[in-house]
Amino acid sequence: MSERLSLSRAALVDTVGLRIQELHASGKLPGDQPLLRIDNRERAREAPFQFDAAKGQLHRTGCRAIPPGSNSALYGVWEVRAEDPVQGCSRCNPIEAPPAVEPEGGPRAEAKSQADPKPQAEAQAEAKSAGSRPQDDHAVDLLYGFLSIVTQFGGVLRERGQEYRRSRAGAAVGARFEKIYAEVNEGERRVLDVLTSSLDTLAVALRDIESGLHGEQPDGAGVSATRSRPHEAP
Amino acid sequence: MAPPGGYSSTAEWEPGPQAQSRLNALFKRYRSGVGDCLEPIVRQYDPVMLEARQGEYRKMLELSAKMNVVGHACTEIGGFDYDERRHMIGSLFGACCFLADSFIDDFGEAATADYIERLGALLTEGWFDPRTDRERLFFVIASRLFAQRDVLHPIVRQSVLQLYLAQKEDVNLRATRKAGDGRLTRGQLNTLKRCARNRSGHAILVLSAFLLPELPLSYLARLFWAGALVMYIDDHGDCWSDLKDNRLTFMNQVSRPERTLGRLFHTHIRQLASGLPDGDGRDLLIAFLTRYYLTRLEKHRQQRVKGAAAWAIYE
Ligand SMILES: [Zn+2]
Repeated sequence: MSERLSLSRAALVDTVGLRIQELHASGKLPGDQPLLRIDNRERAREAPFQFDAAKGQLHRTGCRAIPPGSNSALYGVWEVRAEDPVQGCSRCNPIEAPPAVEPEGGPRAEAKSQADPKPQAEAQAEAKSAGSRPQDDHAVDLLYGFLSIVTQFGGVLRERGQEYRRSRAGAAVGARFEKIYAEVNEGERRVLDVLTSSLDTLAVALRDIESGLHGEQPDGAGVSATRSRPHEAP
Repeated sequence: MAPPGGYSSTAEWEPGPQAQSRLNALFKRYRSGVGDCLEPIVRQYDPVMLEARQGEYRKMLELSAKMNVVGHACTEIGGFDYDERRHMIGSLFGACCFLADSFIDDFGEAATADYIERLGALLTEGWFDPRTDRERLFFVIASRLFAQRDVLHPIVRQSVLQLYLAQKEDVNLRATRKAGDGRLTRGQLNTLKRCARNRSGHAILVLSAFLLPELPLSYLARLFWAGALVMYIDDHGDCWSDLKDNRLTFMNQVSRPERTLGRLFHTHIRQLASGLPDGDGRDLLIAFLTRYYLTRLEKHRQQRVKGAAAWAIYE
């Protein structure tokens, strides 16, 4: 990809991100739906293992040998890899003995684990097959998926989308998108609809940016709509 | 596996001339390179920084160059090359840290509390609603950084969250200490030390998590210690300016700071030397920390004589 195209894409992504934030700030996105939840503290606390970064020691979750001073340095761990030599706590013995299972946070995995405890290797394989990470709020993942499509394909803009959808790659993305759309609930769909309709507004801003990058508007006036407020202290 | 106490001979870990000259070359390279990544973004979203706040902009570039050198070492320790994309990640991360620190330190207590609350909302809901040019610049830089890696990867998101919580605790400690009688209990001193450890320990893990596809647990603790050491060194260097700002840190409250820092430095470095895999990455990290330690000792001594000069740039 040329440097110019790469810059252009970065500028598009910036604008999409800022525009979505502006829509939220102006109250045009109905509901209290989160956009993206990075905070996974609850899931991390429920992981089968806890790694104490301050002491370099792995524990089973709930081990009483974890020093209080390490509580702010713990990392939830779902999978311990054989090729990653790590010191295990001698009290809870997290490496040698199998854990009480709970590789995933999904209800199916939970129900199964209560009835049929699995050895560590099997539990970890299951975790790995699910992407080696805890299941998160489904809706948030869907929204994140939607955003990744928007950011990866600035051409979800209507006029380009038509052409893109007819291509083979586009058909695959389209099917994915429609599946996501079909699965979201009513509240989430309203958010998606507002985001999608806002793409019209975005189309104008993005065209301005692109033409600016191609020398038609060397002053970069195309993004002025997203940063029209004067400078002020935060 | 915690770092044992006591001094050690430097011979077993001291970086040789090769690591030193590599460190010099990388600093030179990244000092001249970070602007290529950051200048267009700053020009677009907060042009006043380039025009009226040149000193601040230079400080941001210096921090980004530093993050690139540390990132370079961490990447090599993980067994990967520090390519152009990683150079961009290091630059964005440095700028992100710089702006976040400025929100916390430079605009008064109300702005600090507001930022902490809104950053919390960004991490739990994804909403930030940038209001100023500086905030838009921060948001865009953070977004570009987050676009470089799967931000839902457990280590990425946990390290980001832990860093946020460490910043929050640091801010809370600043507010609550004012009611004290000026003397700290051992417990309070330990809290300050733990806070310093976490602030930079988790920061280096965020950087490494953005640079490496996976962060092995066996490296995670070592890098955490390296990060913690950076903060002890940093706080010693900023001792007088922090005191001037009524900001208490472990390093400006401990009774014999230079001796304490020396002990921390030697024990942490020895652990890194024996715990990280042999190679250029480990040697570069140790060379960096050694240079950082020596220059900050000098900064501390100079500022004690001349008084704290805000925004002074030290290598
Ligand atoms: Zn344990």
